[in-house]
Amino acid sequence: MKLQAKDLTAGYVAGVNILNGISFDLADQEIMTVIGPNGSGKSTFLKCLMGFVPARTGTVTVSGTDCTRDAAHRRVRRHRMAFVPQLDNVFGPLSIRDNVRAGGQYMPRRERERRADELLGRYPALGDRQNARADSLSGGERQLLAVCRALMPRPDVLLLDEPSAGLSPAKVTELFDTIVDIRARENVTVLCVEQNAVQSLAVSDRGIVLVQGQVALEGAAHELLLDPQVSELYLGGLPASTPEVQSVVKGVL
Amino acid sequence: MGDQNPDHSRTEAGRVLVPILIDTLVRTSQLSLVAVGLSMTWGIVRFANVAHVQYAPVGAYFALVAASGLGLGVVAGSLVGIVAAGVVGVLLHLFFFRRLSSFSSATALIGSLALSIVITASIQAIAGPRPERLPLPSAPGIPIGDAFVTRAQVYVVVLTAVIFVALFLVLSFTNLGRAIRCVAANPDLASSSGIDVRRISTAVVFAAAALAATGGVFIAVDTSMSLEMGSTLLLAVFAAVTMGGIGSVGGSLLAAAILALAESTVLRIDFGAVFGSHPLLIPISYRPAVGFVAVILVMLFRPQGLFGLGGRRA
Amino acid sequence: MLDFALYVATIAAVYALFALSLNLQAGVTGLLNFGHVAFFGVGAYSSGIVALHGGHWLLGVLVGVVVSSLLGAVIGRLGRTLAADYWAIVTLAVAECLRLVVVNEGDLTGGPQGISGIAGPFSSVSGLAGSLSWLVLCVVLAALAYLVAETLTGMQFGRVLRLLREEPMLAASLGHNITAEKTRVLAVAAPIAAVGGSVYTLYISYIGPNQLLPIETFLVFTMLIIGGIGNNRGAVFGALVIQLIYAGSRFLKDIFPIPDQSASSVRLLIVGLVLTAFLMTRPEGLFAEKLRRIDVHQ
Ligand SMILES: Nc1ncnc2c1ncn2[C@@H]1O[C@H](COP(=O)(O)OP(=O)(O)OP(=O)(O)O)[C@@H](O)[C@H]1O
Ligand SMILES: [Mg+2]
Repeated sequence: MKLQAKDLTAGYVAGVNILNGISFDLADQEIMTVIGPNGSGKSTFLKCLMGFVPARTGTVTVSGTDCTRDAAHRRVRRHRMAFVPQLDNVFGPLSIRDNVRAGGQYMPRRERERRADELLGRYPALGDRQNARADSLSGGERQLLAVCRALMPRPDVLLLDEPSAGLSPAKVTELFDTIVDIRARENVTVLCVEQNAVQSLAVSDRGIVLVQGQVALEGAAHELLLDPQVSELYLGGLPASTPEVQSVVKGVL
Repeated sequence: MGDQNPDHSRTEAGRVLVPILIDTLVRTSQLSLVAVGLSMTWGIVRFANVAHVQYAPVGAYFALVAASGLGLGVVAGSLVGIVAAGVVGVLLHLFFFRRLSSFSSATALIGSLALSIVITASIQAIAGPRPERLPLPSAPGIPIGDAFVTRAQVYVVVLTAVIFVALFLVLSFTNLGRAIRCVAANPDLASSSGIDVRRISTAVVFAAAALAATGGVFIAVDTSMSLEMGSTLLLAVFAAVTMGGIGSVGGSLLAAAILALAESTVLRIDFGAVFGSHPLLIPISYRPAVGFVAVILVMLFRPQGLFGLGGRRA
Repeated sequence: MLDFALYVATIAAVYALFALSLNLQAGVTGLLNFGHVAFFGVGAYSSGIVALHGGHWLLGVLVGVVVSSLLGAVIGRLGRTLAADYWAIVTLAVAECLRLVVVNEGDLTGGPQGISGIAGPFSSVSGLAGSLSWLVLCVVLAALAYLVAETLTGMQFGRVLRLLREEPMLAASLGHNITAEKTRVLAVAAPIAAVGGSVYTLYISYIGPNQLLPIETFLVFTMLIIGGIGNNRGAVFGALVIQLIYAGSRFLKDIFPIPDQSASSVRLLIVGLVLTAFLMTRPEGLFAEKLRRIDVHQ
C-alpha cells in the first residue's frame, strides 16, 4: 500500500471533530477521487494527511512508514508527499520559474534546474513566460503551475484539492487528461478531491464518498459511477442509466 | 569645489543642495534599515509589529554597553549590540509573539504595543532618561562646498549601501532567499513545498531585528541615542514599509529615500516665496509630521504600496 | 490621606470613562484604536482653550463633545477600506499629529508648557466638600457612561457590532453597512472619552501635551485587557486596578530606594509587565465576555 490512513479523527475547535474516523488505503500509482457535499471535511481530510491539521487519533502511513507526527515539510521531504491546496496555491509575487523551483528547494542546484526545464518545457503555457509573476496567470494556468511545483521533487503521492474548481468545461477535461498523463509519466499515486465527480471518477481507479467526516461509500470508481445513491446525490441527479454516464463508464471499463 | 567656482548662482545652489543631499542620504540609511526588517517580517508574522522599531534603541544601548562597559570599542561593540538585539528579537518571536498570535492577531498587535512600552521603560529605568553617545573620537568634518559631512556619516551611508546590495543578492539569487520569499508570500504553501517555515521565519526575524539594531547604531553614531529613538521612528518606518509594499526590500529603500527627501526639503522650502508673500517656513519642530501625514495618506490611498512591489490586501 | 484616597477614586472614575469608550470600539466592535488618546485630548484641550478665553466650563465640555464626535466619525470613515492593523496605525498617526500641533501652536494651546489654572465647576468650593463634589460628579458620569455602553451593547446595535468584529463578511452580506456602523460607534464612543478629558482637565486644572502621548492609550488598553476586553464591567474594573497600581507605586517609592527620575518608568514597567502577563496567560481577562456563539458555518 502506498498511502494508508487508519481511524483518522481531526478538527479545528476543541471537542468538535470534523473527521470522524477515516480509514482507507491506496495502492501504488492508483488514482482515487474523494467526493462529498460541501463542508463534509474533504479539505480537512487532505490537510490532515499533510499534517496541517494534526490528527487527534489514528495514523497516516506512506510507503509503509508512519508519518502521523511529522510536520508538513517533513512529509514532503522525507515521505515524498506533495500537496496542491484548494486556494492560494501559487506564490503570487514570485516568478513562474521561481514557483517551480520552490518545489525543488532541497534538490541539488543542477538537478533542480534540469527538472524545472523539463516541467516548464512540457507545459508551454507556463514555459513561454517563466519570468512573469505567478499572479499574472489565469485560473487554469495557476492550477497547472501549482501541480508542477508539487511535482518538482518527483513525489510518490500527490494530493490535489479541487484542481478543477473554477475552470471552463474544456479546461476541466484538459486538466483530467493532464492528471492521467502525469500518473503515467511520473509513476505517482494521486488522491484527488473533486466536485466534478463524473469526470474525476472516470479517470480514477477508486473513489470514496465523504459525508460528515466519515467514509460513507468506498469502491471502484466505475461502481461508484453506477451507484444510484451516489448518482442521485453527487452526480447532479443523473440516473445511472443515462447515456452520458453510461458512455463515461464504458470509456472506463 | 563649489567655493572655488566663480559662478555665484551655482554656489548658492550648492549651499542649499549639498546639505539636503547629505541629510537625505543619512536619514535614508537609518530609516530604510529599520523599515526593511519590518517589511520582511510583516508577511510572515501577519500583524503590525509596533515593537519592531524598538530594536533600534535596544541595539544602540547594547552597543553602548559592549563598547564602553565591556571595553570592546565602537566597532566590535556595535557588532555585539546588533547580534544581541537580533537574539532578543528571536526570543521574543519564539516565546512571546508566537503565543499571542495563536490567540488572535489583535492580541499580538496589543502585545507589541505593550512590549514597546516595557522596552522604553526598561531603558529609562536602567540607563536613565538622558541621551547617550557612543565613545567615538571626535573627528573633524570633511568639507564639501560649504557643508560638512562627518566621517561617521560617510560610513553610515556606505555600509547601508553594502548591506542593501548584499540583501538584494541573497534574496534574489540564493536558495535561502527564495525560501524566504516563499515563506513571506504564503507560509502554508511554503511548507507544502518542503520548506521548514519555522526555521526560515526565525532566521528572518533575527535578520530583521539585527537590521533595525544596525539602524539604531547608525543613528547613535550620527547623533546620539535616547529612549525616544524607537517611538520617533515608528510612524516614519510604517510609512516607508507601506509605501514600499510589504515584503519588498527595494520598495522599502526607495520609500525611505522619498520620505527622507521630503523631511529635509519641506522644512527648507520658503512657502512665502512660492506665494509671493514674506518668508513662510514650516518650523523644524514639524519635521515628524512628514512621517505622520505620509502614513495616513499611503494607508488610505495606496495600501498596496506606491510602486506595485510586494503585496498586501487593503 | 483621605484627600489622596478621594483623588485616587476620582481619577479612577475618569479612567473608567476612557476605558468604557475604548471598550465600545476595541472590545465590542474590534476596532483597535491606537490613537484613543486623541479623543481625550480633544476634550481636554477644548476645556483648556475655552477656559483660557474666559468661557464657561460647560461650553468647553460641549465643544469637546461635538469636536470629538466629528473626529470620531472621520476616523471611522477612514476605517472603510483599511485592514485592522492598518487602521490601528492610522489612528496612532492622527493622534500624534494632534499632539504635534498642540506642542507647536503655542498661541492657542500654551505649547509644551500647556494650560494651567483652569477653573472648573467646583473651584469656589474648597476643602473636603470640593473633593467630594468632584468624586460624586465623576462617579455619576462614569455610571452614566456605563449605562449608555450597556444599553448600546445590549441593543440590536450591539449585536451588529459584535457580528462586525467576529464575521465582517457575514455582517456585510446580511446587509449591514460596515462603514456606517463603524462611523456611528466612533461618533458615540469619542464623546465619552472627551467628557473624561474635559473633566480631568477641570479637576486638576491643568492640561499639557505630555498627557497626549501614546502611552496613555496603552494604559487604557491595559485596563481593558485586565478586566476582559468586550465587557463593560471589566472595563470599569480594569480602570480601578490600573489606578490602584499607579497609586500604589507611590508607596513603593517609600519602601524601595528608587530614584525620583526612574519612578515613572518603574510604574510604566509594572503596568507593561502586568499587561504582558495577562496577554500571555489570560488574554480574555478577568471577566471574559460571554458570547452567545452564533454558528455561522452550519
Ligand atoms: N480553519 C478552520 N477553523 C475552524 N473550522 C473550520 C476550518 N476550516 C474548515 N472548518 C470547518 O470544517 C468543516 C469542513 O470543512 P472543509 O473545508 O474540510 O470542507 P470541504 O468538504 O472541503 O468543503 P468544500 O467542498 O466547500 O471545499 C466545515 O464545517 C468548516 O466550517
Ligand atoms: Mg474544500
